[in-house]
Amino acid sequence: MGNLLAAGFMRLWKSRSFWVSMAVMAGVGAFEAAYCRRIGRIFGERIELDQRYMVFALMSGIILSAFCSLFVGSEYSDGGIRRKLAAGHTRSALYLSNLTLCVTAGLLICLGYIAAYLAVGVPLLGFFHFALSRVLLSTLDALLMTAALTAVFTMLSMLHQNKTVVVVTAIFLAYFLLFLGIFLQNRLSEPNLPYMGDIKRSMYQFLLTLPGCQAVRLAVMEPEWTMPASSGGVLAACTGLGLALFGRKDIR
Amino acid sequence: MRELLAANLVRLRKTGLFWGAVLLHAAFALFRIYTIVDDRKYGYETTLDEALFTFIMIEGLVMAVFIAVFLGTEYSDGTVRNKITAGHGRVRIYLANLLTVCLACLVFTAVYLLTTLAVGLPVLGGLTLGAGVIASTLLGTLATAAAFCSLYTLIGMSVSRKSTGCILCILLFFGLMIASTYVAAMLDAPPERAAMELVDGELVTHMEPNPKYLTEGKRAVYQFVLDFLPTGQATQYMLITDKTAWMSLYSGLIVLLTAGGGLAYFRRKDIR
Repeated sequence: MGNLLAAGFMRLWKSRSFWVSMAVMAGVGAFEAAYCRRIGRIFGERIELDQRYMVFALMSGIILSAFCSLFVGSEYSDGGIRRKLAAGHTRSALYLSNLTLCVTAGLLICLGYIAAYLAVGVPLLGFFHFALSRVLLSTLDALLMTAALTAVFTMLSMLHQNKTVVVVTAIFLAYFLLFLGIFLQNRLSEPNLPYMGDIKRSMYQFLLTLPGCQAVRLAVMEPEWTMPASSGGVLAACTGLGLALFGRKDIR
Repeated sequence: MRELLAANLVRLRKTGLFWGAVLLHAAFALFRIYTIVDDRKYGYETTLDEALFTFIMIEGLVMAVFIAVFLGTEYSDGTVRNKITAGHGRVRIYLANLLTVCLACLVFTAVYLLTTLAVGLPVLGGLTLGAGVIASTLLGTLATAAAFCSLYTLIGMSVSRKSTGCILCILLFFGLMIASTYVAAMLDAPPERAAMELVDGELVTHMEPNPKYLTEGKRAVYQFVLDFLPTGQATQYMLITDKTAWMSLYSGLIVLLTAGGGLAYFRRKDIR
């Protein structure tokens, strides 16, 4: 697997989709920080660094849905997967190396946003208003959520050879989870909450912990233990399922 | 150009994606009628007219996927190269493709409308809006749909890779949708907002001018943006607007600009 990873990282550094994703996230990070300052001046409000720091949690799913499907899908269309299997690499090594590469790329892309946001934001807006422990915990939760989403998109990409189908499915899934999260958060914030049935409320709260949906809570830095637990569960489940199904897949 | 169109239409008929989109529009029409029936159970007086133009909300997304895949397949199958080799001009190839996807969009709209009327009239009763309003709004929504088609055709004909084209078209749609939602929210900001302050140890609420309320000059700019963006137009058609003529003009402008830009790029593009 070491060889697969080494070759994979070389491919990653040369990957246009990786650098475009990185540029988009870093660009948005810098823009968000500068925009906060501008909005603060226009409306005469004090905007804190905390306010837009977690926007990367909202964007990472969408960016990575595109990246993973292109990065892994290219291996199928170039014949890379078939060649690696013919060279004697096991299917599980191949799957896990692609998963590792995509998760690493996902984390780097998120860190790209954070670095750009802090580089522009700290001089303009000062440091965090919230306690550093809350910021760090939210960041770690968001990075784990990103890893979980990456595992989902990697699974889709490894199990289906048609890049276009995977791209469309992955992007739609990313947006669906985000909008579902917004819908659930709005419903749970409504004043008639006491009149919502217990079962319905529990179901909404459970769904809100799913990777993608929980981004809405993480965006306002409200981490709970259920979120990393859910992300960890999805990461493990998708990896297990993906490995099992990829082991049986007919590679053409 | 007639040959190009004929060939495109034959391919369209044989594409599973086309028939899938037709079924999707019929299903969406049935779903919309169901939501109106549901609304009426809760006492809302929703009419069939409101269902007529709802298709424009999904049209942007459906056409993004459809056009990216339909035109991307032409590149991956080598059809574009074959058409050029056969002697067809690049301008005609581009325009034939643009016309084909617009025709496909027209078919989807017709399926949606026919399903809505066929099922909606017996279930929900007649239309309340005048024929003139319905006709002008329908033409307006078709102009918006044409603007979507032209935007995506620009991408589909400029990007050879189907998957990249898909990503760009879908991200463009969601980007436009988020932008128009933001602009609409800014326009909806009330002139005053509630503020609380401590007076003699008690929290007192009073109204104060809302700094986010758009003044006349800024309001005109934001309204123009909402009227110009195809997604903003779609939102306004849902509420039956009196700006159909202006929005159709903007859609026409989008078609001209994007078709012109797409043609200019396609003429120089290296087709492999």
